[in-house]
Formats: sequence, C-alpha cells, structure tokens
Amino acid sequence: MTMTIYVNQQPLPCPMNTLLADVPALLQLPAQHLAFAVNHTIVHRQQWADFALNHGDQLDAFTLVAGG
Amino acid sequence: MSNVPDAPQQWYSRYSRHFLLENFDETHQQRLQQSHLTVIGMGGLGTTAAQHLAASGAGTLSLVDADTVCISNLPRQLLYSEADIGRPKVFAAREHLQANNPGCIIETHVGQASSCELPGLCGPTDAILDCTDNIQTRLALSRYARSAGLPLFSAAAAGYSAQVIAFNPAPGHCCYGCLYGLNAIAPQHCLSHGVLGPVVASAALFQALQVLYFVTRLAPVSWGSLYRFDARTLQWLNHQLPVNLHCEVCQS
Repeated sequence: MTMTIYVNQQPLPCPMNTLLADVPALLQLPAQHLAFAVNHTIVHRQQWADFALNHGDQLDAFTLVAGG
Repeated sequence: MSNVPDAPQQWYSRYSRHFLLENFDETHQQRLQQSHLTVIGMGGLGTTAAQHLAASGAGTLSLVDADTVCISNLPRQLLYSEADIGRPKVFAAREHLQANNPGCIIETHVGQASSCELPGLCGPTDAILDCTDNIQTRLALSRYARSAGLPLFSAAAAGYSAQVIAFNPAPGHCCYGCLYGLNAIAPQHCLSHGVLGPVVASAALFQALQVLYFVTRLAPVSWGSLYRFDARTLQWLNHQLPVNLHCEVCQS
C-alpha cells in the first residue's frame, strides 16, 4: 500500500506508515541541516522517528540561515 | 548632531501618512515615540531596520556593533556612504539616522554584544532586534531576552534565503534555542555564500514591521511563526515553531 505526500509542493509517493525520519532518504538528501514542517508546523528532529505521516500531508523541507 | 524633537505642527506633518492609515491615530504614533528599541548588529539587517524605525518615529534606538564601515558593506548597507569607510558603524549610523529624523534619540555602543554586557546594552529597552551574523550572539541574545522578559525579533539572511521570527519571552513560547535545536542552520553566511541587498532588506523590513506592530499595538505579533523568504522563487512561507522540550535555552 502506498500513499502520496507533498514535499515543497511536489508529490512524493511513499509506503503507508512512512515516518518523517524516512523522508530524507526518500528525497535522497542528507538529514543534516534539514528541517521539516508538516502541515505548516515545524517538527523537532527528536520527534522525527515517531512522527507518522498521512496521505496528503504537506511537508516543507528547508534549511535555516544565520547571516546578517 | 543632537536630538531635536519636532514642534507639534511639524510632528503632524512628518507622520501625516501614518495618520491616513486605517486604525492608526496619534496614540499609535505616541507609543512609537515612547519606545526604546535595541538593535544588535548594524550590518545589512540592522541598518535597514533602524532606518525604518527611526524614520517612522521610534523614540530611542540603541545601536550595538563592533565593526567599521568597509566598501563591501555599501551594496546592501545603504545607510552608509563612501565617506563613512573606516568609521565605526554605530557612529555613522547615528549621524545619518538623525539627519533623517532629529527627533529620534540614538544611543551607540562600539563593541560586541557579549553575554556579560547585554544587561547594560539593553537596559531600559522595550524590545531587542537580533540583526547579528553569528549563532553564538543569537543564542546569547535569546538567553538574555528570556531572562529579562523582553521580546526578541530575530532576522537572518544568506545566499538567496531570508528568515524572520519573533520570540515572546513568556514561558510556554519557543525561543531562538528551539530554532537552533533543529540542527538545520546551513554553514553559510554572506562571506562564504554571498548575499543580495534586497534579500537582506526583505528580512529587515519584515522584522521592522513586526516591531512597529508590537510597539504601536496596531496588529498582533505572530509569536513563534518562522517566516522564510526564498528569493529564487520570490515566495514567503511561514511555519509555526513549537517549543523544543530539549531546548537548552528555554527549558533549562
């Protein structure tokens, strides 16, 4: 069984019961320096391993900056 | 140049475009005039934010920066001119800000915003603007703002990205430590990845607008909302940052 989530507005098919911690590998991106918001709320890295995604979830994957 | 308040008629003329705004009256302008705001960092962010706050009628600005003006600042730090090269930024800034609005009191401090100096630098302030370019100072500001009960308006920019977030110092709200704890800050700054003036200015203008809303109470501040600007797509996005229960700044 698969479902579709949306990462930065792009559809991403993935298995049912995909966890947020699985998404960097699905995107073929290193998890380092990556933040996720799910349905407009940021999810802290410590919660990724327990955060189950649902069909249709809107994810934003991004990095932060600190320059001025 | 010293502080010279406007005569009443000139005061109304100067801010006449504010008074034409819906829901903006003399009370809002007076709140701004009574405000004391501290700007930490007078680079691309701090110069833009300070220009708009001083010109809009902020009563007192405290400016903190250790640097002198150099030519590579000029494409994005429009407050300075070639004649300022070599001068401490805060002194040049004071001169130019007061040339625009002599009614604004400008206090200056040449130096770093180190943890031990923050109480003296931010003493009577109503809000702190984090316009710095390094994480350690941002974390120190967050710790101080939380302990002193001061709101912290944080902006950042590098490459084609800008971000702005306002932190409420009350318990139960997130802080810069919660943002830092995402471990998502890319190892880049304007020295390594470059930056465009309008990208930095976009963050600073958004930051200044939030401060104006906070001081005047014209509109609510979206505490803990991270606003991100991607200059390549020209899109602003915002996400809510929850408290990080493992945060070493606000949960310790």
